Amino acid sequence: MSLGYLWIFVVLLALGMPIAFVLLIAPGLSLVIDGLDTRFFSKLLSTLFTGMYSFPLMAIPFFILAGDIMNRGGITRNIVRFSESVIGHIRGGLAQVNILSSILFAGLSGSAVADTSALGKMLIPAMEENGYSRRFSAAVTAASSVIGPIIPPSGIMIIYAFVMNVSVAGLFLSGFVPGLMIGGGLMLMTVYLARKRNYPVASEKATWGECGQAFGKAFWALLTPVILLGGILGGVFTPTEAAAVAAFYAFIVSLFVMRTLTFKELPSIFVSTAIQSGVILFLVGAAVTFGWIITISGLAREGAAFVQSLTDNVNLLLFLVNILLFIVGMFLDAGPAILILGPVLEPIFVDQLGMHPLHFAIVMCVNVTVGLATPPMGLVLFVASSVSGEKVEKIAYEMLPFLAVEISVIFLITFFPALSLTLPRLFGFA
Amino acid sequence: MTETLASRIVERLGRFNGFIGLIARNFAAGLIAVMTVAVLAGVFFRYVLNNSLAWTEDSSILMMIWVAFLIAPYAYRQGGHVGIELLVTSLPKPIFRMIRIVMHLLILWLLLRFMQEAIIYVTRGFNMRANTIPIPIAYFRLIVPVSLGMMILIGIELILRDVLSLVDRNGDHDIANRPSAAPPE
Repeated sequence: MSLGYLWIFVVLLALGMPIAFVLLIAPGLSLVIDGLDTRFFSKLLSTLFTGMYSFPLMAIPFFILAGDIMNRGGITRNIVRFSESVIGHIRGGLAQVNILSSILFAGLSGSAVADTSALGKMLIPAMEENGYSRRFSAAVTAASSVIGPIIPPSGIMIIYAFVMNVSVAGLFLSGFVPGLMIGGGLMLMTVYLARKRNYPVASEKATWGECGQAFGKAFWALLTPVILLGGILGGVFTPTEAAAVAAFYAFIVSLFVMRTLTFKELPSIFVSTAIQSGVILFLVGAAVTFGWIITISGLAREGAAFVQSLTDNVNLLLFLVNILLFIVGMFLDAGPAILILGPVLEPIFVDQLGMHPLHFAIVMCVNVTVGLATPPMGLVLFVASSVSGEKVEKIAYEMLPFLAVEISVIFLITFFPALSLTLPRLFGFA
Repeated sequence: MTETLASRIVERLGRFNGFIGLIARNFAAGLIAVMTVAVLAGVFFRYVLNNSLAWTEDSSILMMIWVAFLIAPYAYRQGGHVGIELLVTSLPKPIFRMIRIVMHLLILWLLLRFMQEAIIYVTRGFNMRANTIPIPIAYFRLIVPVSLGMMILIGIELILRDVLSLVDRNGDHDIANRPSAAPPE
């Protein structure tokens, strides 16, 4: 079939049609134009159904569920208190607490948006009271939230692993170092800004006793990543089962141990999980269908030929693909960006140019995740804006130094594969 | 006169669509709970009772697919499917509406074309079974035409709302305060 569907795809996307429908209608129309619809239309529909037939994919609803339960269960508060006891006493204390909480939270949740709203609701008002400007408070929250899907668990990585057939556990492991690099980089940048702008400290230096007490309260929450990753890496659970166990664990802890959740809240948690997972799963089904069209139309082959005609310098190509992903990330959500571009780009860089599958995966995941916090279309930015009441463009401007840190990390992990590949290699996944 | 009749029809269709959308949504929420229990039961039986349950995997996958098809109509009506509306929302409202009508018409075309295929898809499934489940797969595939049917009705409603809003100078006929479903990630 012809590649005409690409143009239809771009036009419909620009005209605001929901992406899930664009992914089905662009190839559908193209099939009709090429006169192939009687032969292929049934496959278009059946792929939508069978495209979701996957046990690994089910980790997505379970991680969403676990995150939802933890966000309502008062776990956020305990994590923030613990961070404050550790780092609250240095200059720019609450900003540092915000970043440290995001790093800790990243081990529990796989979603940047959830982190922004949970931490933002608590920390933005507190920071304002403490003398920070509202736009800076919102910017720190948004910038540090992108660590959420980079440090495992991660919804975005599950999607990538499913569509491109790489190991979820391997991808999770390769996210650790990049996630900590972003966290550390943001903290250093905050130290610099705090000195320059003379930001206040948050609290007296906590004694070891106070630290221990705060740790005790956060202990149950901080145990989640241990159970999750220990279970997956130890071969006890598949990632999907680990996600279900995490949801169950969060449920038990918030309902019976911490008593911050009531049975009455459960139906609304299941409804919200169903909506979020239903939307993303439908999109995944549509993207698998689109991926099938990409294969039969030979787009990957032609794309590879085109890319290789530009230059055969792999590093230059990697630089260019990062720019491309970053621009796409400005307009698209991380999930759709991976679902649409993954099947096109991965064969070029992995099969043709010989990159390690996990290395390309982590570069792509980190890049489109940072895109969640870039204007004009950045979900994290929108949530930070609605939580703080500050305008999106003001937050975006205030975020520039943090964005510089994140872009540097993207290029570091692109050109130094060992940063992301060492951990998976140690555990035998790469 | 015709306008008020038309708007009454749209309101009635809207109420029906909203109602079945809500039922589908709550059913999906129930399925999330059941599939969580099914997967946990699988783990429990394997480790604690040393006896793998074969059916938990297939059945929970099918439930997940049902969640996607049950939520699709709800999200379509609430505007919960992610899209790039940056360009079109900056256009004058009437032009925005006209573009949106064209988009919904295209979606309606796809849904109707899919409905034809879905009927064949279901009937073919009467001779097929998922590996571990003794019921023909056709019953699980039934969700496809059901979901398509709901979306067709919703598509008609949304198109009519935009058309009415274009001809009626007294105000718009959009669904009142759509609580946008927060997309994940």
